[in-house]
Amino acid sequence: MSYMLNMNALVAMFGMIAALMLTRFWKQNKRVLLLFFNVCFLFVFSKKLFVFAVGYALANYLAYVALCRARVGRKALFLTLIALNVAVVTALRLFAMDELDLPGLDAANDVIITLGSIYTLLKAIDALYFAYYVGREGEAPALDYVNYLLFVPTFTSGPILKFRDFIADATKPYAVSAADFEAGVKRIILGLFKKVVLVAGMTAVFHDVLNREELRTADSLFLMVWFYALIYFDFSGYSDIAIGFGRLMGYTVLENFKQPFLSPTLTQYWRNWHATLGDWFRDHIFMIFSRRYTSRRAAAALSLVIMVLIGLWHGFSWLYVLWGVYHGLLLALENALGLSLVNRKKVRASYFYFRCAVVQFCVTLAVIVYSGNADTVLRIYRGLFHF
Amino acid sequence: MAAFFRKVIELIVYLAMLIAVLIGFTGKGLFIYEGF
Repeated sequence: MSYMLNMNALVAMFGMIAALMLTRFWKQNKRVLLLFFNVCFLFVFSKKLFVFAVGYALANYLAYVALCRARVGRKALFLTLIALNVAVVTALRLFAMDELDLPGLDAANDVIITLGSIYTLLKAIDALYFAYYVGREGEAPALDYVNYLLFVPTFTSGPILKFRDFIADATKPYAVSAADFEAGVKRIILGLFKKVVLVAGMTAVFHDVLNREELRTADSLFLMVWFYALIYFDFSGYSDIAIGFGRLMGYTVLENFKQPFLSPTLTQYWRNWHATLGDWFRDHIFMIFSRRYTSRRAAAALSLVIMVLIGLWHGFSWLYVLWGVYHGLLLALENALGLSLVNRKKVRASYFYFRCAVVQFCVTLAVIVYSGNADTVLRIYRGLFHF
Repeated sequence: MAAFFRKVIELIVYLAMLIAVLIGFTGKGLFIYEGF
C-alpha cells in the first residue's frame, strides 16, 4: 500500500488521532497532551528539527518572561529581542540559500526548519508585543508558550495564531460539543482531500506542462492559472486541517481563506487570502506607524513598504522584492485613489464581479513567483511572449 | 425529510473524500510546498 511508504506521515496521523482520543477522556490535561503530540511529532519527523525548534522556543520563552518582568529599559529590550529573532531567522534563510555555511546543517534537507522558522518568528514577535504591552500580568506558563510556538498543524504554514487567543483557549476547560466534533472531522477530511488528492494530481500536471521543451503563450497562461489554483488548494487544505484539529483539541484556529476570489479590491483581497498574515502585518507594523503618519499618502507608502517586507518574508530574492513592489504599488494606488473598499451591497452585481475579476487578474500575473526558482519563473514569463 | 437526505449525501461525499485520501496517501506533502 502506498501509504506505508512514509512512516513520518503515519506517525503524524496516528499521533493526531491518539492525542484527540486521549484528550476526550483526559480533559484536564489537554495542554500536556498537546505538548506531547507537538514535541513527539517534531522528534519523529527530524531530530535536527526537534533540537532547533525546542531550543528556539525555550530561548524565546526566557526572553518573553524577561520582557514581562522588566521594569526598566523595556522598549530597548523589546526592540533588541525582535532584532535578535529577525537576525536568527535571517541567518537560517541565508544558510538555506547556501549563502551561509553553518556547521552540522545541510541546506537542502533543512527547508522545513527554514519554513517553520519564518512562521515561528511571527508568533514569537506577537508574544513579545503581548509581553511588552501587558507586562507582568501577561506572563504565561512555559507549557502554553511552547505549545503556541510549536503547534504542529500550523508549523510550516498559516493560520498564524495570535498569542492572546491561544493562551485564552489554553486556560479554558476542554469542551468540544458533538457539533464541534463533526465540524472538526469534516474540516480535516476536506483538508486532507485537497492536499493528498487534488494537490498531488495538480502538481503532476503542472510539472508535465512545465517540462515541455518550449513554453508558448497558452502553456504559460495555463501554468499561471493552474498554479494559482494549486497553491490555493495546498494552502487552504493545510489551513483546513489546522482549523479542524484545533477545534477538536479545544483551540480556536482562525480562518485563513475567506472567499478570496470574491474580493473586489486588492486591499480586501489581502484580508481574505492568507488573512492571518495580512492581519499580522497590519497589527504589528501598519497600526503602529499609521498612528503617527495619518495622511493618505503615508498610508500608501506604508502599504508599499509592508508588501516589500512580506515579499522578503517569503524569500530573499529579487523576484520576491519585485512581487512586493508590484503588490505594494497596486495597494498604494488603490489607497491614493480612494478605491480600497467596495461594499457589495451598495454597488451593482456586474460592477462587483468586474472588480473581482480585475483583482484576480492582477494577482494571477504575479502569483507564479511562488512556484520555484528564478529560472523557472522567468521561463514561464518568457513563454507568455512566445506566440 | 429533506434535511435527512442532505445529511446522507453529505456523509457519502465525505466518505468518498476519505477513501480517496486513503488510496492516494503517500506521506509526501505533509508540509506545505514539499512538492516544489
